[in-house]
Amino acid sequence: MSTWSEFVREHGPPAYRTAWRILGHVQDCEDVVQESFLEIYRLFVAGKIEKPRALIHRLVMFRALDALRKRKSMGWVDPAKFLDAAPGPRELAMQREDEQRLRAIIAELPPRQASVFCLMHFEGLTHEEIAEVEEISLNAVALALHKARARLRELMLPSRQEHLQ
Amino acid sequence: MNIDDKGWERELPEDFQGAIDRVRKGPPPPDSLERSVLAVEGIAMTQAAWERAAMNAQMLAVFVLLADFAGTAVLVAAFGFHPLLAFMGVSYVFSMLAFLVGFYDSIHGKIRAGDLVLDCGRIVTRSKGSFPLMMLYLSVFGVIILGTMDLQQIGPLPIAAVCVWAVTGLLYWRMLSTGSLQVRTHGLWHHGFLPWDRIESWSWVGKTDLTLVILRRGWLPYLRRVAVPLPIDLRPQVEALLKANTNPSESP
Repeated sequence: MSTWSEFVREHGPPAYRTAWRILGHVQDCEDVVQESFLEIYRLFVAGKIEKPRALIHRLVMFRALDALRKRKSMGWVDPAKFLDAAPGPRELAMQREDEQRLRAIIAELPPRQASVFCLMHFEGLTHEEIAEVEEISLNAVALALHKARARLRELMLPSRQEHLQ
Repeated sequence: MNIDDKGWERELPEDFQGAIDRVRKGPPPPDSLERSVLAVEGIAMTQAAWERAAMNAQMLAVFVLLADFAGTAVLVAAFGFHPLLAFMGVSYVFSMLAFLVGFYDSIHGKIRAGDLVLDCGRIVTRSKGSFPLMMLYLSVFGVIILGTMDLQQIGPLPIAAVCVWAVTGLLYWRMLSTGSLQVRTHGLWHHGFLPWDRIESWSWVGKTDLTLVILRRGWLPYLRRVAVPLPIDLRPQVEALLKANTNPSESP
């Protein structure tokens, strides 16, 4: 079995990237990764980690989506807040705004759908891999993905119209 | 991702298609990633420090209880004291001695530590949970004594002594559970004096809940690690003082 340091060196960076894709915010990502690894450490010490990748995906995804929802409920969806302090090109600022709108919409989804959607579209996992991470059947993955996409489509159009106004 | 998935993305408004792609491919800031990995690597060290602190407390509690029982047995066998009264008497002497040593060490240590350089303020540590436990412990003893003994036979002096003990004990517990970290001219102060030359190494763990983990020189492995929670904005000042006064390798 590897040491904790080796374990963290191997799985820490992918975990951080997962949190980053969902949150896009340095401080939030660091908090989510640290909270997740605190839980993972207890399992690591007890020798209870059989599939580290799936476990880390599940824990980080759960906590990151939870943070995303809390952020939204705290009225944190104003994209202007997330733009870099230094002024950048207008196009870049608009891209960042789109990304934050996308994240805010994902926060509206039910947890399972949000998680499956992120694993598929952000993490690039296959249906089989998602089923393993989420510990659900392939049918359940397909159903959650279908519902998530339909709901996202519904949410995206009004959001876009508001944005254009 | 298969063709269906890509097809779905193409149905979306253009700005969202681009956003999904950028979120998928956008790399996180490398310094933040590295910092995060270092922090989670340090979890083991902090956990070990807390676990050892808990182990120390348990070992001490067992030792005190054994000493209590031994003293009680002697008093009961040799002088025929009531067992509960004997137990209370021995506990009283031991704990009052411990409080006095603790208070003396606190005053004497601060004199040895020199002038105050930086006060990091009062820190509520994880031992704050022991305060309600202490209250419970006292209440249980109070109920047992009231229920089994004739208070008029005991007399006012022992009752007053017990009250003094309870108040002193609670004050001492309070002092332990909300100790402050102070940087002083000759070392650190945190529940006691730690001279600069006794610090072997130190590291930082956490971002929002910052913990300073100090490894001190000594031969008892269980007593070597000290974990001190700190407000995050004090890190630069404490770090500068540690670097200026110690010569360890920081091992986050």
